[in-house]
Amino acid sequence: SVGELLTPVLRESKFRETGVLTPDEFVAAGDHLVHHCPTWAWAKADPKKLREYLPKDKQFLITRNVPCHKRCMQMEYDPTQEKVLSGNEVGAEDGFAGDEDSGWVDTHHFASVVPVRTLEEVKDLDKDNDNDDDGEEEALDLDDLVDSGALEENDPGRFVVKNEKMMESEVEKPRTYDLHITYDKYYQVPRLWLTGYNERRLPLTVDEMNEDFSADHANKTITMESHPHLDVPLIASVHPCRHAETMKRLMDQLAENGKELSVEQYLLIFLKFVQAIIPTVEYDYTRSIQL
Amino acid sequence: MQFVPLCTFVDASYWSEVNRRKLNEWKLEETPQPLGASISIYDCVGSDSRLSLSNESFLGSSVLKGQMILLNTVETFAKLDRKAMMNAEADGIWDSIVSGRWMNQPTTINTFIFTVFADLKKFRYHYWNCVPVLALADLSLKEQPQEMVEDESRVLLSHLEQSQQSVFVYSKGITLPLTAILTLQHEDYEIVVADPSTTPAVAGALCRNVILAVLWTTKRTEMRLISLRGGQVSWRFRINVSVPVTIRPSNVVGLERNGKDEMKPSSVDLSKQFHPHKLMEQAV
Repeated sequence: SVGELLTPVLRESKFRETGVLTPDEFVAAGDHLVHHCPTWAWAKADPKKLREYLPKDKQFLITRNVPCHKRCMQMEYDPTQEKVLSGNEVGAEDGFAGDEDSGWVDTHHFASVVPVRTLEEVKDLDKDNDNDDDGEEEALDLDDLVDSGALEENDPGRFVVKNEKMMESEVEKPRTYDLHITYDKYYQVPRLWLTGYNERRLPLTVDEMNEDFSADHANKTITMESHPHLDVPLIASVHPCRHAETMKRLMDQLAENGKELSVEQYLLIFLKFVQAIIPTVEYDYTRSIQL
Repeated sequence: MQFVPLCTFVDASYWSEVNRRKLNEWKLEETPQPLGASISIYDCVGSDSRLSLSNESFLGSSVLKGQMILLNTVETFAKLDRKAMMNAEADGIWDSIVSGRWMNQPTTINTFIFTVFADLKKFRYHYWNCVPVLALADLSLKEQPQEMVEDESRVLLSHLEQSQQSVFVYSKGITLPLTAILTLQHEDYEIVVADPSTTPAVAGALCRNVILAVLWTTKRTEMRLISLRGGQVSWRFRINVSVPVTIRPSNVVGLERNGKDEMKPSSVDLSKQFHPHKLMEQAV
């Protein structure tokens, strides 16, 4: 973009003052993330889209095949399921009863077991998908051409998931997401990108992906844009205009408690706050952050 | 003994590069192109054992080395003699084992052949991957696989990270290059394979040619293997074969099944993403 072209590369650290990063600080934070959460790895750019202010082999961060079992709808808050639990009720099981006044709210107390689609329902869904999937016809042509019988292999060493288990896994096979974190030169912060795949590993449409973005953010915070390092069609991205501000606020809060956030921890914190936008994408953010 | 097959994942950035090179460089060329693929040992339990192709596949730095054969028509793609192709590839793998080359270049025994037909008018891609394995019929486990303690796993993972070698030797708490098996006492070492299998207690397909290579090189009927994983527990295996391996196994397997578990190619429709109208909107 023009804005990006005209923005000089940030050289001097302004992290403490404004929550932005220099490219070097981005690399340091990326190294820290890769070290602590090895599902993340550095990736190289398309040679045409190489950004010279970042090392050649550390252009952006990537994690692939992240499961996403539920749609956001299934997580939405329903007040009829709410029950205020007294401190005693909460603590009793864990052996430390709380005081009477500090009640907890169990937001899913009366919820029935999470509705899992039966195999029949999944098949019906498949049928629906097939109907509007005009690629199916082509695949059939190919089926006729390929003599798969002649290619069947005699391989007793091939591990096959047991039958009843396979039925189960067919129902439960999750959507997956590939996540990228790039350095946004204009906003001078990390930026998150998402590509989703359905249960059969076919790319999700924008509408389908919106089911996995929290309703507050879909079509607003999340926009379709072109990737800074890859020559691919538009992909979904969390717009970075508020990132620095959010980061600065978090740092101030920590400072009030006498704690200091190091620049290396930036991406761990970043991943925690973007989780609100994609609550059902189960990427590796479980590592507790010690400050 | 059984092994979890690999599942090929192809990024849009891979197809985008295929689009560009097919139109500008390869044109009607059908000769094999060198290609790289990456694996991950950090995926969670129950997901597919992943082999990934992306824009980086063309940059020559990937862990797995293979080739792509891009066919011009759907007929040649469908009728391609994949059995013969895999057999020829298996000859190369066997040659690497017999010559001892595999110990210095373990990548020469785990290769892949990715065959593609790309309909660039409709942006539909048909592909079929195979990772050739010389299958030993009588491999068995001498005992139940054992979980590896985390501290030991961590030593191996840090070696993997530093050396970028996905197959190496572990002996009495230290890591060594593969050539060490020529001098070490057989009971004293284990072979470590960075294994993308996500199934507990079941090794992945990339271990198979390594097991064959070790058994042939040592002329023994027994070996120990560590299936090294990062996101979950690693596993130790004691493997047996009934007689020492002296000849090339004749059974070559490894053609990938599609998402419906059929012996057929996979297809993906990217017309919604790659359609010229959409691309024009982006060009602003």
